[in-house]
Amino acid sequence: MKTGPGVTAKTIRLGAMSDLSGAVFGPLGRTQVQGNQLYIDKINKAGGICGRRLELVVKDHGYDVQKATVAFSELEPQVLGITHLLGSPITAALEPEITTKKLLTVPSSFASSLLKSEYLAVLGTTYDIDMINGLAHLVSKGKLAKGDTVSHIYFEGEYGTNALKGSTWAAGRLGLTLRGVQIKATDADLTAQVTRLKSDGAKAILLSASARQTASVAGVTRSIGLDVPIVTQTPGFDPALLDTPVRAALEKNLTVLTSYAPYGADAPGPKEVAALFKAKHPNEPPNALVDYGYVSAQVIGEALKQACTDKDLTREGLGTAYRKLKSLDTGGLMAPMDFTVRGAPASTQTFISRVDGSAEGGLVAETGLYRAQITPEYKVG
Amino acid sequence: MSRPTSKVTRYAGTAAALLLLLAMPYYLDAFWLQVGAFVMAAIIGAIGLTVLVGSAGQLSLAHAFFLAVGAYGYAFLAGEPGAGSAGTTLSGPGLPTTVAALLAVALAGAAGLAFSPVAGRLHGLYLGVASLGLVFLGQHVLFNARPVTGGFNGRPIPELSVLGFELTGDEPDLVLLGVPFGARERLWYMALLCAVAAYVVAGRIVRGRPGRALRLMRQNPIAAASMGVPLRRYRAGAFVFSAMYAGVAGILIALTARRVVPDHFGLVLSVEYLAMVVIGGLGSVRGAAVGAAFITGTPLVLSHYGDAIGVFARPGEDGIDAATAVRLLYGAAIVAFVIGSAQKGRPHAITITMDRARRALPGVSRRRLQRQGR
Repeated sequence: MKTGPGVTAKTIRLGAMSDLSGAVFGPLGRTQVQGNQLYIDKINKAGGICGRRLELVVKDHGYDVQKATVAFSELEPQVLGITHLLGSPITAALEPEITTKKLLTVPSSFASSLLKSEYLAVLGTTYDIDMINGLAHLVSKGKLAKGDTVSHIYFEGEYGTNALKGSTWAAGRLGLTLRGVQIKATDADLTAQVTRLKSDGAKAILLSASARQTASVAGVTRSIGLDVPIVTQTPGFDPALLDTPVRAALEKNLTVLTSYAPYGADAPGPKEVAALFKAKHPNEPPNALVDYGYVSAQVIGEALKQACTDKDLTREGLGTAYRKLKSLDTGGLMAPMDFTVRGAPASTQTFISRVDGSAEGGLVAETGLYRAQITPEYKVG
Repeated sequence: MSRPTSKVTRYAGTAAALLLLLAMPYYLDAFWLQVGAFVMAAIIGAIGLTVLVGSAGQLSLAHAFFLAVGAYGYAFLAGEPGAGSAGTTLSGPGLPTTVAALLAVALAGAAGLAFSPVAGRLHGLYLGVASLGLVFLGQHVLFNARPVTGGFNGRPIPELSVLGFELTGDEPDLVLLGVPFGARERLWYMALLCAVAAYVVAGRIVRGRPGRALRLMRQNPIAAASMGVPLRRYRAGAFVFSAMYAGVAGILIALTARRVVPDHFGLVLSVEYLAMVVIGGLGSVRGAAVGAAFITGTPLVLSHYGDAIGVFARPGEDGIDAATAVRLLYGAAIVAFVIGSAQKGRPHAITITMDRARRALPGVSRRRLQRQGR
């Protein structure tokens, strides 16, 4: 058995770099790390992998690139792989070093631009493909028809740009007119943008932003009497929104596109994660990011099992083993994933959910995994 | 006799400290070398700001902007055209890196000069608010001038090299006394050299004629003008000086982080630099260095030991985890530092420095008047 950094006779160390103290993604990072830990606890209870216990070393970078580079140079020599790396600018800053150190890393992002990097394991369906599926779903439901105008409000940066690419392509294919509206992450009040898109006659609003903007858009549409479907993505929904006055508007019009199952969804994977989370953190409000954190660690775990079979627990061994994972089943936490094709997304199916305040985690499935007919024709890259 | 003795001990102390810093790469690992490089970069930036705010009395919240000009200036001028991250296309003249670094510093200075007409007309808080505008302007440009800045995800930093020898990279291999001198060791010496030079130059300026003129200008512009201090030129000069220091600091930060991203150069960074010069004592070069080391180093070092202290919850578990505790501890440390330095009457305490400056100024003008035979 060959071994690499982070591996001893008894343990395998993995790393997580998250924003645990910053104002931007603090709570979200924490939930994902909790998800990582749930998987690792479960594996350790069953005797570990390759006769070794898994250990998670967590570093906080507070969404700051300077802190992240320092934390990375500290973390890197201790670990075999990274189960969670949060922050698009931080991922971009560390990517060259991750590649030279051959450190298999799961970034907390679904941007298809990351797919070309050999050692970044982007899980599930990318933002652009989610948008294609979401837009096609609206058309198939009869909520949009050929010639309609659709408005896409998106963040500047990787996430928004990537989503816009998908929606633009899909609008072209479906005969819709797309109007892109770029906003900043700090823009909390979108009254101007929403009023403008009402006068443009938009029949639906796509929203690639965060939960703050979702709240604003839902509130403004209701107050100006614009009753159209709103479609948002993974970062755009937070169950905490349901405690605000926009709850009714969200329940009526919001659709959420995610790459992972809603929390506690009716499948063995989500059910198991929900049970584990309840047992360990009885007082914390759950959300679907626990599922995502769990799957992130699980993908690394599955790659480790494969590497163990190959008798190569080095970083190169882990990287090779990960590329052998095909139709990886997560018990319905995410779509079955295929990592064997470099540069291609691991899956092309999207969970389409609607909001239900009475459900734990706030989301219920509208469709199961959904893939539009046009999706396979889309070229990522 | 006590004066020369204390002077000798002081020189000996300085020499010993320098020797210690020079020997550090033989003992420290990558983490500490990187923290050290960031700290030394911050020291340079803070010295530049303390001359502007402390000596010349011009409140500036634009320091993050000038840091960004230096960092991005270098990244662009030394950068080759090519594909950036997230589908951006980068452009860049690909100049030799030393030329690019010098030009980037000059560019930062030019940005300071361009802003000086505003600085010449406004004072105090008004100037602070006006300079704030630069930070927001800078952020907008950094996010949107994609071919130059790389947009949201920034751009990579080419290694600084002289005649094929990388001053901040791994090429060519170099082993001294059995220790391999890789990127981080070389960067440490680079940063140390720049910091010492910046410290000495600023110290001479502050203690010399220009420093006295700046202080008088701050205290009493009319008196300064009547004594022949060209106010407009000195105000502009202080801004250019401070911006060029920020430019050097920005380049060092970029070389250490290996990538520049717009998020880093926001308002928070400006406020942090202001905090550095305030807790160090306005106008004091040594104080700025201490403040910079404290503000930049403490969070990094605390989070390094945060896990080892062991009383905190593991990250992601219930309770106060190390990351949160570090923030609280950092805040408490700043309060303790300010109170402590003010009470002990150390030379870099805020109140003491300001009092001393106030007392010193009439003396300076008196001596100057005497020298001029009036």
